Amino acid sequence: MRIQDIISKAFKEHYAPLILYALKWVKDEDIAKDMVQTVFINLLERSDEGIIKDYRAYLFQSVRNQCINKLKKSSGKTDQLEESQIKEHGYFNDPIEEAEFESYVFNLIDKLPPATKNIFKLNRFEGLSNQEIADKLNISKRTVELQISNALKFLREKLFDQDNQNSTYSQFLFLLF
Amino acid sequence: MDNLYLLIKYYQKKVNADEKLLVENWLSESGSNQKKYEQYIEIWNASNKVKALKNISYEAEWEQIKSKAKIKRISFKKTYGFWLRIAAVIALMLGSYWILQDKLFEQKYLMVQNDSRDELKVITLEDGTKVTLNYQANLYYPKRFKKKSREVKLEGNAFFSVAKNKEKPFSIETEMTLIEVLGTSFDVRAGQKKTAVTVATGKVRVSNKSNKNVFVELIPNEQAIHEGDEIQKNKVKGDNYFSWKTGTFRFKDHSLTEVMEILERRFHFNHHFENEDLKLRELTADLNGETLDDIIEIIQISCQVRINLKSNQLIISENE
Repeated sequence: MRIQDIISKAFKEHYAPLILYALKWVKDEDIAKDMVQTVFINLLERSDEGIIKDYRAYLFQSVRNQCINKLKKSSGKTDQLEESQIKEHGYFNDPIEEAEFESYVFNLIDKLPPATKNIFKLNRFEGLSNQEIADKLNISKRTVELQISNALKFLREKLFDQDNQNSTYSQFLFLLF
Repeated sequence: MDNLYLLIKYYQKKVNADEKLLVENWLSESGSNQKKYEQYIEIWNASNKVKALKNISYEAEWEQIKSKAKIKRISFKKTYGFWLRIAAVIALMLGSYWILQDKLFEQKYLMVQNDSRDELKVITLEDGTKVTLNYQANLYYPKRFKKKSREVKLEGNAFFSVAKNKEKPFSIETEMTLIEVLGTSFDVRAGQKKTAVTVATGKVRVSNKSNKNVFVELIPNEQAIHEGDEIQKNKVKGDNYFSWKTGTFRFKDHSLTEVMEILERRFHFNHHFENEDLKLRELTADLNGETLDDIIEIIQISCQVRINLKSNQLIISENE
């Protein structure tokens, strides 16, 4: 496998979680994307073939460094930029795993039934209130709530439910239970 | 709990008293309900964060990354065939040395350093290329070159005599500059803020590492100065860019300031002029292999100055 194909594969696999990971430091989406893209550009420019054993670890570490350097440059502060920047979270001690979880949530949202997906996205991605969604789609507010409820049920079952044999996110079951 | 949205309203503290009671009863029913509640909230928050991904396009963004990456490559045309006999001098002048942060690079490359003021260090690379390192120069090189390229990194000043190999271009990377050659000899001074590349013979391409569109191609007696984002091309006089290695100096109406700077590269001293006028005194002399003491004497006589050498510092004063 050519080195560029290996990096391309790593890109497909890790790009989304890396962006979410970068967002834990830099709050701007464009800057976060920029940080991640810079890491891949550097990776392509490096031509030390075969040295990186663990691309996942390498990429997350590089994005982290890239973000911290960016913050140091823009704020001049250097001390308080380490992990303390990332807020404590209920389930995930590891911000990398959290980013991967979020990325998986994104993929699953795409698998919702079309009507449910549309309503859920209008709420979560576009920031519309349930009343606004109801008006826009000419449905009742109660229906909007019901669809969001369905979406949450679907996602939780896929992500967390031990009894669900189809749970595709088995790697997190270890972590969470 | 059928209406999961109620849990969200509870989380957002938007429930009324009845709803609040309903949710809290449900939560207190079992530990597993509590757990489910936490999971729903986790999903709720995550689903908002991931809106950052909504416009993502893997293919387009991957293409963009690839096009931005400067993959080192140089094409050699037939017109470069005469490079067999050419030599180039590349002088990169800089203030301080950079720190290589790249651990991977350090692992794979060997590093050699010349920490002697008095002796030059000569390294022969795998392909037969000879590199002469001046005082305080560091060279990073692989034990074996890659199949299609020969890449080294340099900090400080060195003279390269590159073995000819059309199939495997030779490149030298410094902090800010990339120098690409085929088979020739040249001198490199590598630092951090400023880079000067001077070619004696041959043809060399000098580019800005961080923007490969910025480059110049140099032919003999041309010099590139890379400072900030720009690379400027100038004509240069004389052949003293080699002198640190050869010990041969050709001064023709050189000011004493110029003379001192050229001599410093071989003898590694600092200098100080007692007054400004002395800097403009001119020297014309051909020197070949003289010691510093001999050279000092020649300058004293030719330029009507007095020179004292004290702990690596030359003090130049009026000859009373």
